[in-house]
Amino acid sequence: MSTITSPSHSQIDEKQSSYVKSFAASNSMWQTFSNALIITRREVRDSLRDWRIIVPIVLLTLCFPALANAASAAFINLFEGYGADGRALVESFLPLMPMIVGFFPVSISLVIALETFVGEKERRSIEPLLSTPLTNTELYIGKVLAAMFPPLIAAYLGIGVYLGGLILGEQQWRPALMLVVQILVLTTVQAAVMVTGAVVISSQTTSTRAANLLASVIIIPMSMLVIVESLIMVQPNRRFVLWWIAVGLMIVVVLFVRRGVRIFNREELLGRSVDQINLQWIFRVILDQWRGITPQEREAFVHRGVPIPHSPTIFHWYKRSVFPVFAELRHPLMAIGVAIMGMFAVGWYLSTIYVLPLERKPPTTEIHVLEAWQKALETPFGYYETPLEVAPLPEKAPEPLSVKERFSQAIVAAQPKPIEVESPPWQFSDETLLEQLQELQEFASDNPQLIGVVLGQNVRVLLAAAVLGLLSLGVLSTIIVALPFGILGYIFGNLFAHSINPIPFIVAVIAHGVVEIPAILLAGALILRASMIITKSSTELTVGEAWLRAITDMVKVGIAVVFPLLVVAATLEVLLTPHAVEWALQIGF
Amino acid sequence: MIEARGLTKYFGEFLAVDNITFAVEPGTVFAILGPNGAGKTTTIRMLTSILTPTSGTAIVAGYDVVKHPAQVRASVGVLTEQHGLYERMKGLEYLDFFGRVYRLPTEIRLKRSRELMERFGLGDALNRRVSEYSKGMKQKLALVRSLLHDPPVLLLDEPTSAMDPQSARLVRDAIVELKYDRRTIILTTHNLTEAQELSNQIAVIRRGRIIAQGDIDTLSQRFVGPPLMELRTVQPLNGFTDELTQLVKIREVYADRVLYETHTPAETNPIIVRHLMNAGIDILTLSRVSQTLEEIYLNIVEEDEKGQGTTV
Repeated sequence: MSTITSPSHSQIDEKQSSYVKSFAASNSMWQTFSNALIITRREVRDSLRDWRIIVPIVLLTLCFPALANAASAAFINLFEGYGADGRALVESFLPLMPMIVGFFPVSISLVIALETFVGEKERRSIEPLLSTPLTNTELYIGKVLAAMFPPLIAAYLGIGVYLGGLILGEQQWRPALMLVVQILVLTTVQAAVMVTGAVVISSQTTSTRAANLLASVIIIPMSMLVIVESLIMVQPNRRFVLWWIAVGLMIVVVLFVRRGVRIFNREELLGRSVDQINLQWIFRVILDQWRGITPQEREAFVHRGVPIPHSPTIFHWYKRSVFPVFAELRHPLMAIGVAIMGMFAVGWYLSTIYVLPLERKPPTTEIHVLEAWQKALETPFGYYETPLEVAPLPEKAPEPLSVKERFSQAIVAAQPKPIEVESPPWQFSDETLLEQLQELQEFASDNPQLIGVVLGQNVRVLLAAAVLGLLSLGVLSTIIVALPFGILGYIFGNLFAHSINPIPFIVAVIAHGVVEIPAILLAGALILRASMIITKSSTELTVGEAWLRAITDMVKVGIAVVFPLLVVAATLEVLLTPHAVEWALQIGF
Repeated sequence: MIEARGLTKYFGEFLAVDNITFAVEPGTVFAILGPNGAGKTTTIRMLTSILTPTSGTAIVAGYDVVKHPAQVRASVGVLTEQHGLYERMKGLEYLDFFGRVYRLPTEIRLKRSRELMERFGLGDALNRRVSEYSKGMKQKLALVRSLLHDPPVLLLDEPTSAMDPQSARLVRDAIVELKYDRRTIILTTHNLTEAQELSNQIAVIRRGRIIAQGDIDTLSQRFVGPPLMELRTVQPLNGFTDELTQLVKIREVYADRVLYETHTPAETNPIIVRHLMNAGIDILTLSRVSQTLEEIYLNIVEEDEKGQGTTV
């Protein structure tokens, strides 16, 4: 009978000792990668033995590109039948399909990643692996690569089959090399986003079912992004934007990897064992954060019975719970500040390309502020949208316009249309403006509820920004918060271009902006922090707890600081700003 | 070889392991007994450097579980509570994968894999997919995996669960062999007969706390009481039991049989034998009634429930 002990074991303890010590030295990058590849090889081999993964990959690699080829040819023939320029269509439309052809197999990487991470947790096959000397980073890299390789290879093959069909088929279209590279890069980073995102998702669950339900958090924004990319792809002169999208996605990957490496550790993987919503725990975390009780204070209370501090008055609460949040907002505030300045600069830059026709007398296209406000007061919640008017089609086809002209027209056309007003159209004469401002002041004095309208609008926008920000890692909220500054940049750029005195406009902004801008900046930073917290490395809190605490901070500071500031800003905007502008005009600015 | 001092683990607010202390020497099997959820698996995971203790320290094979996790994991062979095998792999492939992870040279990992599979009766299943293995075969494959890198320390969580009696015997023999090879072994099990057979030291853990610790004799003495003796005679005992009452505590009396407790059997039994001979009663047998670990365990748990449990 063979023995279970190695013949050398008892005699040569030194050998064992030197073997164990070989794990002591920190691994070189190559050793780390090499160890990670042991995991990758096993996982890939395992995936390739599962027909549920292989069948869709094969179908998407071979059948879908062939179908896409046939569909592309059919579309182009159809449009050519109606007199469209076939060549232009080929250039615009055909590059769109390889991107789609590549995306479908890549979307499977999400499924594989969830299976690789959560499936192993669910089957408990991860524990023997965690008992080995492999480092967390090696395990993480190995599994990420394993989830990416098969779908990516399928995507590359699919793109190859599709392009092969185009080159050899009816269209005889040869895409530019850079276009192919661009599509491959986009496909790769999309796969990386989905897989690295899946790791973050997997940390929040122990069942594949729950992970699949959570996967919508990734698949929905990615699908939307692919639609946006498609819209860009069909415009050959805009395709450079896709590089920026690729760069943006890479940043998201870096953020997810940062979080993933932190999450993918033995403690997190085995420490969690429930998927159910623990309402009691959620409520306690929210309440703790609202009261300003830190996780350390809670832990000290639980483990050592140290009493939890409390805030007897609202001033204590501000001091203990609200103001300390500001220390956490340093980086988000800087990011929002940079976004605002960047957007202002972009607005200014656009004003040099798309110049507003300010020298011309605006016909009936300017909004009459007073009328709009009056209308707003008549509607519930003060929400009023100016109606769109559709211009009748010209009888004769106009001369084609340049892009610049089309954009300038679009800007003018996009202005809210006036309500049927009897008053004379708005003009660039100080007298008319002064008259209108006086009307506005009287109207505002008689209707202080306008403050509510302005406040309601600002709150509505910030609430929408919060929801969209939480769904988009803070990207959409930052855009929403910074966009008005882009418009300001555009307006001031135009004023500058037409040598129009900007002081009344600056006064108009500053009079209430001095309060409103800090409020918006703060709100933007709070939303950004809550949205990005899942990508932030934390050594103490789980993703769920960090997220709950950041959202509570957002609501808390939103109610305690941002809302009062917005009330003050709305009051100033209704009651002070018209006076200030009038004053600026009267003293001859 | 394994030394745990004040090992404590919290999951959030839940106290899973509460300040446990023990030491296991090489060539010793240390059995950890306790109900489900008592903290046995969490203890094993801390000793494998999978979970970090909230407080306390543990040294395994000379390495601190917090400071040198890689060395600890390289020194330890772990059989997890659930075997966690990759079902789509073949037996040999599976071992080859773990051999690579443990950085074993190709020749050694193939040799060890074949030898161990042969030793545990899996020689014919080397190239079969794990999904085709029976429950017991899977358990044995998992055990082979834990032995593959020839570790000096073994942490075995329920090693014979799901095995047929023949396979379980094979595994128990292997554990004894490893014990005599001076490996340090920690065993968790619900099979008290197995624990009694294999272990030198026992710890009973409940609600994360060690409520009793020691060898079986010590635990038996403490929690079950003094040794119980059974005396069988050829002739009826008649009035001799009154005389016996003055010497020992009698538990049960029959016509030709009596069960009694004595703290000092070496001193008491010869006296009783002399008295019987003088009384002309022939002795058929005089033996110690063996107390099972189950009895000891149940008494320990019962005492702990009454709030009298103490660490030995």
